[in-house]
Amino acid sequence: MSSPWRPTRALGRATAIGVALLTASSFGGRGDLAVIGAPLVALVVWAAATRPTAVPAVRSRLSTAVGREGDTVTWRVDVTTVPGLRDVVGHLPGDRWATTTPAHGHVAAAATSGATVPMAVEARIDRWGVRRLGPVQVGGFSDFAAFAWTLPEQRVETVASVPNPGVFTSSAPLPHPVGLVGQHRSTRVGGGTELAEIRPFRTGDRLRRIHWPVSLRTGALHVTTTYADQDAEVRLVLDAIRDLGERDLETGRRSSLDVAVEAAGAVAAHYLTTGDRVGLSVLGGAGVVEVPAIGGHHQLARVLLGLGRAEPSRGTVGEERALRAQLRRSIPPGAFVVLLSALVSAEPLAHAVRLARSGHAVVVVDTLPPELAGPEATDDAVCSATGVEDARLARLVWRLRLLDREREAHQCAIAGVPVIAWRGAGSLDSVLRQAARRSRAPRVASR
Amino acid sequence: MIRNRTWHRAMVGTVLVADVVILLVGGAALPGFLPFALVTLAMATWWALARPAGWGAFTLVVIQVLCATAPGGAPTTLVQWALAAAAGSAVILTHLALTLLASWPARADLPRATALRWGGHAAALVWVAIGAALLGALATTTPLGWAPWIAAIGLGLIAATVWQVRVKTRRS
Repeated sequence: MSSPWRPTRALGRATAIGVALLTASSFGGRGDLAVIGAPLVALVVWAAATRPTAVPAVRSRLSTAVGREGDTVTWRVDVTTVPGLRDVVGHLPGDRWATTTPAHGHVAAAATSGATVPMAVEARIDRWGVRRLGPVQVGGFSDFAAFAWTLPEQRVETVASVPNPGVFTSSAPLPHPVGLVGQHRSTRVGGGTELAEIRPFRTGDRLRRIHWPVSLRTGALHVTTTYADQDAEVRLVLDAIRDLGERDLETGRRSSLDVAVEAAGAVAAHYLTTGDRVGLSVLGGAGVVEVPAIGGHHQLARVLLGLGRAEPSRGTVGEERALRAQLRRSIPPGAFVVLLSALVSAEPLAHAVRLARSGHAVVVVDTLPPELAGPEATDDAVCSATGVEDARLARLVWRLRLLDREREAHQCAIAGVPVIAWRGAGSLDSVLRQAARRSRAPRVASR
Repeated sequence: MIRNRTWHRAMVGTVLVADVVILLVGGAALPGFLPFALVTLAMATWWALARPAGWGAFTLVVIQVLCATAPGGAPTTLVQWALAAAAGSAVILTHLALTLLASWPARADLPRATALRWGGHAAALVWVAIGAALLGALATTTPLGWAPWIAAIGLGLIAATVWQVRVKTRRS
C-alpha cells in the first residue's frame, strides 16, 4: 500500500538544484557551487530522515447538533499526531447562512506534544433550517513542508437550527374543542368550572352540586351544572413547495418560508401554552416532516425542530410523490387547521378547501412577504420568484400570477376558507370568532 | 498566532532581501553584470511571489544561483568564501520562504510554534552553508597535505548534523 504522504514540489526543487550544484561543483572544481548546494542537500536528507509514514486520523465534530437561530456552534477538527507530522492546516467553510470566525475558514495549528492537533472555527447560524458546514479539507506537512498529506474524504457536518417563534396571542376560542381536558369551554355540560345553569336535582347528581339557597327558596332540591373544559387539536400545515423572496440579514427582509416558519412557531407556542394539542405537516418540502399532534411542554421543541427541517421543494419526482401522499393523509375530525402558504401553488389551497368541505375549521395564513405582494417589488425579487430572467417580462408574469393568486384566495373564501395575512398577535382572532359562531349555530338537517 | 498579513510580508521581505544579497555577491565579482541581474531577478521574483507553488519558485532559485556564481570564478580568498556563504544562505532562505508561501494557506494565521521551528530549521541550514564555506576556505588556504584532515572535519560535520536530526526527530 502506497503512503498517503506525497513529496512536494519544494522537495523536488531542493533535490534537483542541490544535486545539480554538488555535481557541477565536483566536476567543475567550483567550491562556491558546493557551498550553495550543501544546505539544499542537507534539507533533502533531513526531510527524508524525518519523513512521516503513518496516516493521521481525523475526527470532526460540532459542539451541538441542534441550536437556535442566531446561536454559535464550535466546529472542531482533531488530527491525531503521528511521528513526523509538524503542521496541520484546514479549511472549514460555513454555508450561506452560517458565518464562520475566521470568515474565510482557514485555520492552522502546529503539532506539539499532545495526542491530537486541534483546529476549530466558530460558526454563527444566521437562519433556521438544516445548515451544512463544510466540506472540511484537512492537510498536514512534515519538516520543511517536504511531504504533504491531505484527507482523502470531504466531510460535511450538519446542524439543525431551530427557528425563533414569532409573537402570537389570541383571545378567541377554537371552534371544535373535542379533547378531554383543556382551557376551552365545551358546548356540552360536564365537569368544569364555568357555570352553565341551575336545574332541579336528578338521580345521579352529586350532592356537593346542590345549590342550597335556590333549594330553600323553591322548596325542591336544585343543583348547579358547569360547562366541561376541553382542549382542541391544532394542525399546522406549512406550504414549503416554493420559497419566494430573499432573506437579507442587513435589511431584515424575509422570504415567504421565513414568515411561514415564524408564524407556525408562534401559533404552536400560543396553543401549547393554552393546553391544546398541536401537530405539524410540512407540505412539499425537500424532506417529509410530520409531527403528530400532542400537547405538553416538549411538543414546542418537536414542532420547532420540524420547522427547522423545512426546506423548499427541489421539484424531484420523489418529492411529488411524497406531496401526494401527504395530501391524502387524513386529519382527525374536529382539528383546527392552519395552512401557512404564500398562495402561489394550487395544491395546498385545494387541500384546504377539501378539508373545509369535510367539516374541519380551516384558516389560510398568507405568508407572501409584503415587498413581493406590491408594485414596489425589486427586479431581482420578481425575477427570482418567476424564474424569468428578463426583468420586464418577469414583472408582467408576476403581475398575472398575483391576479391569479387573488382570484384563488377569493374562491377559497367563497368555499368557507378565510384567507388572512400574517400580522402577528391577534391575526387569527376575527376568523376564529366567526368559525366558533358558525360551529355553535343551529344547523338544518335533511331527513 | 502571527497574523496572516504579518508572516506573508515577512516571507516576501525575506525573498527580496535574499535578492539584494545575491545582487551584491554578483556585483562584487563583476559590476557590469549588475543591471542584467537586477532585471532578471526582478522578473523572476515577481513570477515566484505571484505563484510560489508553480515553476516561478524553481526559476527564481536557479536564477539566484546563476547570478551569484556566473560572474565570478572559483573562490580563493576568505572574502570570496564569505560571499559564497552569503549566497548559499540567501538561496536556502529564498527556498524556505517560497515553500512556506506555497504550502501554507495565504489567509491562515501562522502559529508561533511553527514560526519558531521554521526559524530554527532555517538557521541550521544557514549554518550548513557557513560551515561548507569555512571548510572550503580552510581547504584553499592550507597546504595539500592537510587534505585528509579537512575531509575528516567535513565528514565529522555531516555526522554531527545527522545525529542532531535524529535526536530532534526522536524528541518530537
